[in-house]
Amino acid sequence: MMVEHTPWLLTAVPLLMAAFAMLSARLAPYLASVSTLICGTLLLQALEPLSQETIIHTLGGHAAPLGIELYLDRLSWMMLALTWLGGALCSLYAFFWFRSTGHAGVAGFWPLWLGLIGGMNALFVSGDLFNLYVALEVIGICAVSLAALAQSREAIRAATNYLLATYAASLAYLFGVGILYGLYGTMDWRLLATLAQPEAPALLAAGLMIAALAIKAALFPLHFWLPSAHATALPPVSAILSALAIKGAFYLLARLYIQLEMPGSLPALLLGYLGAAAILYGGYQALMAHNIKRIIAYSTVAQSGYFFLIFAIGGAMAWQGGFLQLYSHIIAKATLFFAVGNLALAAGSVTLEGIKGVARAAPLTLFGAAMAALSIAGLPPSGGFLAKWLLLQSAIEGGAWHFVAVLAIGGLLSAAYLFKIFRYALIEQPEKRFNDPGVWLGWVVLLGGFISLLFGFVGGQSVAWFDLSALSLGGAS
Amino acid sequence: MIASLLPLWILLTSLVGGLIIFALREGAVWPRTFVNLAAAVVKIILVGWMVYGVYHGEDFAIGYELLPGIDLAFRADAFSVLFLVLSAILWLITTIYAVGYLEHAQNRRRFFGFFSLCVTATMGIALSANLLTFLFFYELLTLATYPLIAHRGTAASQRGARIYLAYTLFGGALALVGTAWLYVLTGGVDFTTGGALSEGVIASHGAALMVIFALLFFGFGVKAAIVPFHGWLPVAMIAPAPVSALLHAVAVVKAGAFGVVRLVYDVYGIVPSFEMGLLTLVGIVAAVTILYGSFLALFQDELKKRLAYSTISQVSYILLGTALFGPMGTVGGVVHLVHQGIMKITLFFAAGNIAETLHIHRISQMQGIGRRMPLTMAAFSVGAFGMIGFPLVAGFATKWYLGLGAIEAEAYWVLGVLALSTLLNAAYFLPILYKAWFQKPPKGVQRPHQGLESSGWLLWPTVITALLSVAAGVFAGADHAPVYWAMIVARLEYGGLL
Amino acid sequence: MSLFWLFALSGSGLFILGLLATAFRTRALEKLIALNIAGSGVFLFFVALAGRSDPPDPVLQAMVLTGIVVSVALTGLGALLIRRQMTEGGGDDG
Repeated sequence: MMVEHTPWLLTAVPLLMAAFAMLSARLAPYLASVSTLICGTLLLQALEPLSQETIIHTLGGHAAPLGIELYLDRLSWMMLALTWLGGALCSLYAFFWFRSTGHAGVAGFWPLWLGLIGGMNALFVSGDLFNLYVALEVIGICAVSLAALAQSREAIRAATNYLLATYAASLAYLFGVGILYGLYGTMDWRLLATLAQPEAPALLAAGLMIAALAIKAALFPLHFWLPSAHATALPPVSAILSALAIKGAFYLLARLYIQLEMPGSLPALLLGYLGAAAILYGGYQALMAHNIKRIIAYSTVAQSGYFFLIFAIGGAMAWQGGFLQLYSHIIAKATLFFAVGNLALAAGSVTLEGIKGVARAAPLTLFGAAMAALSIAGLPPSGGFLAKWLLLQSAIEGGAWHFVAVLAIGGLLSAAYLFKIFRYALIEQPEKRFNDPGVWLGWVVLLGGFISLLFGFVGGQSVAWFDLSALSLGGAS
Repeated sequence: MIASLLPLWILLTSLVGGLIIFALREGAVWPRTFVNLAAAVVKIILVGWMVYGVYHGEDFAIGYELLPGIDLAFRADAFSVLFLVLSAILWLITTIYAVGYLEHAQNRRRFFGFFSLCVTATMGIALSANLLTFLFFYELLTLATYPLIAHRGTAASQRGARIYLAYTLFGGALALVGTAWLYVLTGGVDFTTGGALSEGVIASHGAALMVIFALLFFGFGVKAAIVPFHGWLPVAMIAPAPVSALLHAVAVVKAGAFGVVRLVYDVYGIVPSFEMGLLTLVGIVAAVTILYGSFLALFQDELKKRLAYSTISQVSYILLGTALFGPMGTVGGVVHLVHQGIMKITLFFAAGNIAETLHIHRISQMQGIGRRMPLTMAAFSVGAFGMIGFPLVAGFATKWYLGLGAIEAEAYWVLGVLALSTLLNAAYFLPILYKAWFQKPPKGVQRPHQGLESSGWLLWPTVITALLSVAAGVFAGADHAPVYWAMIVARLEYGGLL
Repeated sequence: MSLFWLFALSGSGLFILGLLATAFRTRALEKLIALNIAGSGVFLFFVALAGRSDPPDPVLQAMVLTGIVVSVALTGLGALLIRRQMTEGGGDDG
C-alpha cells in the first residue's frame, strides 16, 4: 500500500537529505547513504506492482487536468533504477575521492548532488510539462553549481557557459509549454497526446521544446558547452554530469516522441542525422584531444549521438538498443571518469604525456577502465556491444546503410581514442615517480567496470522487460 | 548436469585460472605457476572427456539468451574437438615454455593472466554454436592478445601491438556488420553441417549474401593474415617468443582460419558456396597468400620474421583446402589446422630458445648452431621438413590430401601452387638447416656449457612438439590421428554427397 | 488588434530579441542580462494567455511565479560565477 506514494517519495527523500546535508558537511555522506538505501528499497517495492500496471499518484488529491499526477511505468522505473545504480557508484567514488584529496568543494558537493538526484527522480515520474520544467531547472542549477565547485578559472568559465546554455534552453522550453497550454488548456502530456493537432502553433511549441532539450542533452551542434564543463569539473562531478545529468533531457525527448507519435516526422529525422554527425564529430575531437578528461568528455558527445540515431531509425529494436546504450553509458562513462580522476591523482597530470607509465601506479584503475572502455567501444562482452548490435540490426533491417556505416566507423573511432589513454599509460617509465591514488578509489573503478561487463549479459533482458512494442515507434517492422 | 555443462567448464578453467593469476601478487611465482599448470592440466582432462563424448555421439550444447531470440551458445562437434585438443595441449606446453622464458622478466602476473584469457577466448571460438558467439569471442581474443604483444613495453612492441589492434579491430568491424546483416536476413545463424541458410534465403537474397560473405571472409581473414590484410603479423613478431608461438600456432591466426572454415561449411554450406562461386574467391586469395608469403620469407634475415612470413603462407593452406570442392580437400585443409600448429610452434620454440640461450636472432649468425644446440636444432629441422612437406612429418599428410583434393575438384592449377610453394618452402628453410648443421661456428665460440644445451623449461617443450609433429606424420593413418578426425569432419560436411 | 495579441506579440518579440542578443553578445554578463530580457518576454506571453479569461487563469499565474523564481535563481548563480571570474582573472571576457 506504500507503493502509490513511491513516486513523490523518490523526490522528497533526496531533497530532504540535501537540506540536512547543508547543515552538516560531516554527516552529509551518511545522509546520502540513507537516501540511497531508502530510494533503493522504494524502487524494489515498486517492481512487483509494475509488472501489472502503471503506478499513478495524484498530488493533493486533485486529478488532471488541473491537479498534478505522477506516473511510474516500467520505462521510468528503469531510468530511476539506472540513475540509482549510477548515483550509488558516483556517491561511493565521491566519498573516497574527497577523503583522499581533502578538497574544499566537499561542503557544497553533497547537498547539490542530493538535489540533483531529487531533480532527476522527479523528472522520471512527472507526467505534466510544467512539473518537468521545474525538475529540469533543479537539475540544471545543481549541475552548474557542481561544475563550478572545481574553483579553477577554466572551471568557472565553463560553468558560466553551461549556465547560459541551460538558461536559454529553459526559457525556450517554458515558452513551448505556454503555447501548448494556451492551445489545449492542459499540461498533462497523456491528455495532450490525445488533444494535440498538427497545427502551426503546436508545431512551433514542439520545435522550441525539442531545441531546448537538444541543448540540455548536448546534441551536436548544440553540445558547445559540454566538453569544457565536463572536462574541468572535479572528477566525481564530471562523472555525475556526463553519466547522469544529460540523460534527463534525452529521456524527455524520447517521451515526447512516443507520446506525440512523431515517427518519420522531419524533427525526428533531423535528430537522427544530428546524432550521426555527433558520433563522427565527437569521436574525431576525442581522437585529437591531448587532455584525457577532454577525450572522455568528447566521448560523451559521440555516445549521446547513438541515442539520437533511434529517432531516425525507428522500430522497437532500435529503441531497445537506444535505451540499452543509455543504461550502459551511465555506468561505463561514470567508471571512465572515475578512472581518469585516479590517473590524474597518481600522475599529477591530465595530459597524455603526463600519464605516461601510470599503469604501474594504478593497475586496478586501468583494469576497471578497460572493462568500461569495452562498453563505450561497443566490444563484447558489454551492454554497449548489445546496444550497438540492436542498432545495427535495426539499421540494416530498415535499409539505412548510411547509419550502418556511421555505427561501424563510430565504433572504430571510440576504440581508437580510448586506446590512446591505455597506450600512454602502459609506456614503461622506470624512473618516473607516481602518487598512490589509494586502493579504495581503484576498487570503485573495478566495481564500475565489472557492472559494465555484467550489462553485456543481463542488459538484453532488462530492455526486453519494458514492453516497447506497445508504443508507437515507427520503423521498418 | 556436470557433463552437459562441459563446454562451460572448459571455458572456466582458463578464465578462473587467469583471474586467480591477476589476483596473486607479482612475486608469487610458484603459486602462480601451480595455478597455471593445474588449470592447463584440468583443461586437457576436460577436453579429453569431451573428445570421448563427441566420438560416442554425445551432444554437448548449452546456451544463454543474450538478447530476445539471440543466444550465446556453445556446442561441440568434430571440428571444435580438433581445435580444442590442439589448443589445450599447446596451452600446457607453451605455459611450461613461458615459465622458463620469462624467468627474469617483469610484469609476469599480467602476462600469464592475459595468456589465460587469450586461451579462454580461443576455446570460446572453438565451442561457438552460432555466428554471434563466434564474433563475441573473436573480439575478445583481439583484446586479450593486445597486452601480450605489447608486453615488453618498448617503443617497437607498442608499435607492433598498435598495428595488430588496428588491423584486427577493422576486421572485427567488417565481421560485425556481416554478422548483423546475416542475422537480419535469416533471423539467426546456428552453425549447421551442410549450411545454415535455407533455400528460400539463398534464392531471394543472392547478391546480399555475396556481399555478406565477402565481409565475413575478409573480416575473419584479417586474423588469418590473408593478403592484403597480412601486414600486422610480421610486426607483431616483436612479442615474447611464447606469445609468437601461441599466436602463430593456435590463437589468433587459427581463429581466423577456423572462422573461414565455419563460414564456408557451417554457415553457407559447401554446396551453396560452390554454386555461388564463393569458393573461387577463397581459393584465389589463399593461393596468392601462399605464394606471396613464401616469396617474402625468402628475403628475411631475422629468423622470427622469416617464420612469420612462413605462417602467412602456411595458414592459407587451410583456406585452400576449404576452397577445394570435395572431401579430400576438406581433409587437407582441416587437418592442417592441427599440423601447422604443432610444426610452427616447434619452430618458434626453437627460435626462442636460440635467441634466449645464444642471443642469436639473425639467420646470418646461425653458422654451426647445430653443434652447439643439437636437440633444439633437430627439433627445428623436424618442423622445417614438415613445412616443406617431407614424408613422415605431419606437413606431408596435409599436402598429400590437398593434392588429392585438387585432382578430385579438377582444379589442376592448385597442384601448380602446391609445387611452387613447396619449392619456395625449401628455398627459405634449407639454407637455415645447411648453415646450422654444415657450416663451422665462428672461431672462439664453444659449446657454452656441459650437460643440457639450454634451460630444460625451454628445451623439452620444443622436443615434445617436434615429436608430436613426427607422430602426426608417421601415424597419420591411425585411429584418432588428426587426419582421422578431419575425415570425420569431411564425412559430415559432404554427408549427403558421398 | 486585441489586448491579447498586443501582449502576446510583444512578449514573443522580447523573447526573440533576448535570445538573439544572447547569441551575438560576447561578454557573459551581457548574455545573462539578455536572457533576463528574453525571460520577461516569456512571462509577458504567459500573462497575455492568463488574461484571456475572467478571472485570470490561476494556473498560468502560478507558472509565471515559478518561472520568475527559477529565473532569479539562475541569474543569481550566473552573477556569482561571473563575479568570481572577474575577481580571480581581472576582467570579464567570458
